[in-house]
Parts: sequence; structure tokens; C-alpha cells
Amino acid sequence: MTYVFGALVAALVVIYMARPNFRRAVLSAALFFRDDPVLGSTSRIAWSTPHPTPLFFLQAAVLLLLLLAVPHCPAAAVMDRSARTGVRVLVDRSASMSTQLNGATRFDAAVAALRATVAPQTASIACFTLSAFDLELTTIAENVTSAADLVNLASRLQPRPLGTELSLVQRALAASPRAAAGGCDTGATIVVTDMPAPSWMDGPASRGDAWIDVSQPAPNAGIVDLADNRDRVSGAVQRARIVVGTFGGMKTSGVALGVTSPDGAVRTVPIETWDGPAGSVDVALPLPGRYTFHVSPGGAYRYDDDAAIDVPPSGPVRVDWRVPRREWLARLGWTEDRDHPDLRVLPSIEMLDSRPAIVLGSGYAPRRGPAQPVTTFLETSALVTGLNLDVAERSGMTAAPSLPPGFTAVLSGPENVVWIAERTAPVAAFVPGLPLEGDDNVARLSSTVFLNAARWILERRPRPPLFTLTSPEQPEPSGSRVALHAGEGNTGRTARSIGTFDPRSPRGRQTERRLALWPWLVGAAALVFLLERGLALTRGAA
Amino acid sequence: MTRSGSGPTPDALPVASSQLDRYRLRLRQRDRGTIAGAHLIRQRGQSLEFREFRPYLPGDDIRHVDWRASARHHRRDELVVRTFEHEVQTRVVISIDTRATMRLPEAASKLQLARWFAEAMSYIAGRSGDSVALHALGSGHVIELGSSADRWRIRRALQRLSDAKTASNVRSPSVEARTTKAEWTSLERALPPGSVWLVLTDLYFAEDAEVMSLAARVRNAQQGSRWVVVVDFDSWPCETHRVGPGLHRLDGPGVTAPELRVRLTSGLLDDVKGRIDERKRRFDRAAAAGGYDRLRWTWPAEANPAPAAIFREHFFGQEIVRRLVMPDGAR
Repeated sequence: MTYVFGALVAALVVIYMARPNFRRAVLSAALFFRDDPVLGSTSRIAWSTPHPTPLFFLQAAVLLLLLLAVPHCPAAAVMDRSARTGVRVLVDRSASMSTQLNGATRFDAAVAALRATVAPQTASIACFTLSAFDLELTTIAENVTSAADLVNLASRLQPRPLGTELSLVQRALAASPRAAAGGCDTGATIVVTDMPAPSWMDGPASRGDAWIDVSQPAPNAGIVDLADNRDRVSGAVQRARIVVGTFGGMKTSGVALGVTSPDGAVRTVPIETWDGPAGSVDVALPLPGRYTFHVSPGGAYRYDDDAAIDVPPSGPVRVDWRVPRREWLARLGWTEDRDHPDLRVLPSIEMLDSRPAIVLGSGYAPRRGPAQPVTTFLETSALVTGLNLDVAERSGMTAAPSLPPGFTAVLSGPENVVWIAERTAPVAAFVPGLPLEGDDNVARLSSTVFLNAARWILERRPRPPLFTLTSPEQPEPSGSRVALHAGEGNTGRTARSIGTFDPRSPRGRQTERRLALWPWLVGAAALVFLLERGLALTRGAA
Repeated sequence: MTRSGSGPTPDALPVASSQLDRYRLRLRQRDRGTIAGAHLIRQRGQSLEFREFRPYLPGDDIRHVDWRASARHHRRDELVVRTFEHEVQTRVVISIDTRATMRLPEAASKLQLARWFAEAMSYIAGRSGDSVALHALGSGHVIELGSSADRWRIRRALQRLSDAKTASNVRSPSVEARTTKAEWTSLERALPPGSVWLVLTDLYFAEDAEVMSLAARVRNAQQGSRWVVVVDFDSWPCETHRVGPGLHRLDGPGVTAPELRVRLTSGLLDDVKGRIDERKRRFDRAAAAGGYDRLRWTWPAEANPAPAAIFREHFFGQEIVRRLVMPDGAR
């Protein structure tokens, strides 16, 4: 309706502009214009110098008012669509939509629900826009004109082994309705999914949008978590904890985990430790290579039944040792590698660069004299874990030289004397020196300080993940790329649908609040236009 | 004594009779001998006004011999006679164009200024003892005023002239269609040789033939030692200024359906003005035969000009008008 009105107004304006406004003028020499073969352009829109007459200012006012009304017109269009509107359909095609129940998937149920929702409202729906979401929101088709075509297009979609990102749907609902490329102005929204309606859906549902949850409880068992256990210093993968969950009334008894080692050995590990519906099992990973896990029986959802991890080969810590007493390399089981070190041990702060390093001071000088009081220490730092501060005060620690920016004092004394310091980016630590020989308290303290620093640095090394998740770029599981997206295997949720789809009241209240101004602007323009015409008529008659 | 009329009206000449008298006398005294006037043709003859001395010729009246002057004359054998002015009554015919084009612009119509001009000239001529006839160029109507300086009578005569056939003339700028040959003949009869013919017009004729016809009349009139003065009333600056540029439905005398719809621009106005001026120049060429003058009364480029100001500026400021008024010298 708005478009018809707008087109009518535009046509009137064009006609008015195209129709020349001739003012009557009486000239005693008028007869001499009679024979003029060229009377000049009579088009109103011909270029001419404007004359600051009252008519000119009135015409300018009309134009200004109409221009001011233009930005408000889209809101009006939305309001008028309440009579016959476009509908945006968002269909969930995440992995959980492949859950089987009674021989059909949840996605089949979603298509059926969509058909049942839009079919009765066909007369009130002008067009559809179909989008699918999982970890991304994808527009499948715009300006679909019939419900049958919409359902047909939706039925061609397939669930993908990806997770569900509901924030995409929330943002789509919060965005202003807009015209699609094909001219389909969507006002109402239908969301079809197997996730329960979140609380932020209450508002849109009250304005005619609908959230249709097609899920029904189905028995399922699957891997819900897979965590590795690594050596904190060497990074070697030693064990993995696999957590198996049961949903939808799946019985825990009889659920077992099959493990295939890199050497091809297959063993079944019964899950004996259950904490409610979740059980866990620790699996030793002695060999580098790929381990695969399979839960059986798997139940209604299949993508959480299998998982695979790649265990990297473990090796000694590689160290760039720049200080004396190289025997400590052998003692610690480290190897020297100056090209690709995991850790650098440096004698002076000047040699520090961006690579992880321990900078040593001048060592320890135990004495029986007065203690060096520790005034402050950073309790949360791993560098002081297990330190005996009484011993530290009598250990004769050498103070750190002037440290570059970025270092934080971990253990310090009076007059800003710093004995131990750390830098988180790039990772580096300052300690007084290498461990001392002997078995006294100071020797143990020096060992603790050095090894704390070494462990704090080495455990911060980047560690390659044992597995990755499928993504929109690589949606299919392959090798150690698995589809263990959180929550997808939870087939026991209670369904929660909300909103009754009503295409006649899509976001109407929101729109009504926004369009209070444009009718007044157009009305004012009409009044000024009438005044201008009346004045022109009077002047013409005069 | 002359009557000054029935009182001031919006259309009345805003110049008192006393002012016209002062103007006439001032020209007779101050400008005598400096301007070649043509109001009166003077001949030697019987009057009380001395003209000159000349030698006695056989046949002269012996009573005109000035004996004292003859005694002082360097030739003792020759008598000197005294000659006197002989004033001849001049005939003035004022033709007023009463067509529709003269009734514009509404703020200060050309016909109104023409009537004022005719009234002032008729009064001055009457006060000088000249004979005046009024003639309507549109209708051919002639009204004899004689030597009357009665402004009330003059005004009534002018009113009758301008009212004649008004209804039929509103939209017609044609003079030829309204002026029959018989009427031209009556005009010629009112114009004896040696008379002065004033034609008050804007020369806005519908057809070129009408202009040439009037020019031929003017040219013929000069063959009888008549002096023809065409007063060209030009209100173009005022009217075009009042209308302004832009889109207009032009209306006026000579315009019939469909209406003239034009975008008035300075270029178009210059073009039309050029055509009007060219027509007037052709009129001049066709009319001039030794005793022809055309003087222009131009309206200022104002939307509402004051008619009295236009009249005063031209009537008291133009040389030809002074020549018409002053009673001295031959043409």
C-alpha cells in the first residue's frame, strides 16, 4: 500500500513538475510575440535562475518536507507488510539434526514442521527467505514465492557434522527487517531447530515470530570429552581421559569404549566409573601415532560415537645452554640444540631475545652473617612454589642487574633488590644461578628455584592438539578431525517451542513506534503545496 | 478666464493651468530666437508689434514712413518705412490613437498620457489663439475645439474621443479596419496647408500594411507645408519589468486563442524589442518628407511608475515639445 501511495505521490510530483506553470501576463506588445517561431523552452524543469519570490520559497519548503519524510518511509513499508508479508525461515542443520528417531531424522521432522506451519498461512505470505544455520548462517534462497517451493528447498538440505551457534540466530532476529535481493521484504521469522527456545526468544515470539523445537528424547551414548594428560616439562602425552555421556534414557550398563592403538591392537575398555549419566575411562597412550575410540552401543546420534587422536612422538627437552657446568644437561636429560631450542639458559640479561630463556645471576653466596630480608614476593608465581623463604634470606642470592621492561619482581628485598623475576611475554625468568652442589638447604633451594623456572617456561610451550573439530570450511570428520561439538549428542533435552507464527503482526509494535513522523511531514508538505498553488492562482489572476 | 474643469480626478492632468501659462510665457520670452519654433508662422503685416525698418518701396503705405529714421538714414534720397508683425492663426490637429494597445499598461496607460498631452497642448494652443481639432486615430472621429482654452471642454472632448467604439476596440490593435477612407478625408480637410499635425500613438499595429498606411498619410500631409510630429508612447521597459522572466501566458490586444505560452527570457525580449524598433524605423523612413519628427515618451523600468512623473519629464523636458509650444520663428 505504501508503495502504491508513494508511486502515486511521485507521479503527481512528476506531472506537476512537468506541467509548466504559466502566469498570465498582459502586454500591449503581446501581438509582437505572436509571430515568434521559437518561444523558448516551456518545461518547468528547464534550468533557470531561481527568483526569491514567495512561490519559490514555498516550493522549496515542499521539497524539503518531502525529503525529510523519505528516511521514514521504509518503516512505513514494514508496517504495511502486516497485511501480506515476507517470512524469513531459519533451519537448523547442525549435527544433532541427524539424530535418528523411529527411522527418521530430526531434520525430517523439521521439514515437516515447517510445512505444517507455513501451509495454513500461504495467503498471508508474500515470499520466503530460506537460511540454514549451524556454526554459520547461510542464505539458501531468497524471494521464494510459494510454500511448496520453500519446503522443497528445505528438504534438499542435509545436516552437517557441525555444532550449533545460536548467537547467529539471535543476531538475525535483532537485525532490522530488510528487503532481500529479490525484493522479498521479510518481516516475520520462523526458526526450526532441535534446541530449546532460549530466553531471548520471548520478545520476538510475542511479535509473531516462532521458534519450533522438533527434538524428542532419544537414547544415545557418546564421547562428550577427551582430555590428554601430558608431562608438564617434556610435553610427552602419557594418558587420555575419555568421558562418555548417556542421554535420552540410554542405559549405562553395557556401554564400552573400544580403543585401537597405532600398532593396530584393539581392546575394549569397559566403562566402570559412572557419575550419573557420565562415565570416564583413562587410556594409556604409550605409543606415538593415531588412537581411535569407539563407543558402543552408540545410540540415536552417531557423530559422537567415534573419535581419533594423534599422539606426537615425545623427545628430550632441547636447550641452548650458554653457561658453564654443562653436566647439568645430562643430569636433567636434556639435549643441546642451539637452532631450535625449547629453552635457553643465559649468563647475562644482554643475551636475552624473544625466545624462552632463563637468565642466571652470579649464583649464591651462603653466609652466616645477617640475613637478606625478603620484603615482598609474588605468591601466585610458579617460580616461588615450594621455596623456603627463611632459607632464601640466608642463601646469599645475587641481585638481578637492571632488568628490561616487562619483568615483574617475584622475590625482592629492601632497596628494590630483585632476586627472582619473570616475564610472561616473551617468556623469560631471572634466577640467581644454577643449582648448587650438595644436599644442604641452600642447594635444595637453588635447585627448586632453577627447576621452577624451567618448568614454568617449558609448560608454556605451544603444544599441538591431539585432535581438531570439524568446521564450516572442513565439515566432514576425517582422521583426527572429529565432530565432538559440545551439546550435539545431548539427545535428552526437553523440547521447548515458543511463539505462534502470525505473519499479520510481524514486529508491528516496533515499527509503529518508529513511524510517527512521516505522515506529518507529508501532510505538512501537502498543506504548503496547497498554499503555494493558491498563491500562484491569485497572482496569476492578478 | 478659463475654467479648470470639474476638479481633480484620477485621470485629470496633474498640471495646473497657471503652470502651463508660465511655461508658455517663459518660452516666448527666454527662448525667443534660440529655438526654431513652429507653433506660429509669422508674417509681416498689420499689427501693433514692430518687426524692422526697410527702404520705402513703391506701393508702401505712406503712413508707415518713419520720418525720423529717414532723416538719420545714410542715404538722404531714400525713405525708410517701418514694418509690423502679422500674426497668422495656426491650425493644430491632434490625433490620438485610441486602440486597445494604448490602454495599457494598467498602472499608467499610454492613452492617459496621450490625453494629458493633448489637453496640455490644446490649452496652450487655445491660449495662443490657435485653432485646435482633436481626432481619434482609432475611430476617425474629429472634434473641433477652435481656439478654446477651456480645459473642461477639452477634457470632455478627449473623453468622447477615447470612449468612441471602446468596446469594439478592446482587443483590436487595427486602425485601418476602423478608419474608413471617408474618415481619412475628413481628417485631411481638418488639416489645411501649414498646419501642425500631432499623432499620439504607440505604433503597435497588428499588420505591417497598417503601419505603412499611416506612414503614407503622414508623408502626404507634409506636402502641404504641414509639420507632422509623431509622439511615440513606449511603455516597453515598464511592462516587461512588471511581467518579469519565466513562463507566461501572454495576453493583450491582437492575441487570440490559442494563448501565447512563452518562457520570457532576456534574449527573447531583446529579439521582440528589436522587431518593434525595426518597424518604427521603417515607419520613419516611409513617413519622413521634410516636415516630420518623431519624439519618444518612454516609461521607466518600474512596475508601478507614476504617470504624472512621466508626463512632467517629457512634456517639460523635450525640445520638440518646446518648439511646439513656443510662438517664434518659422519652421
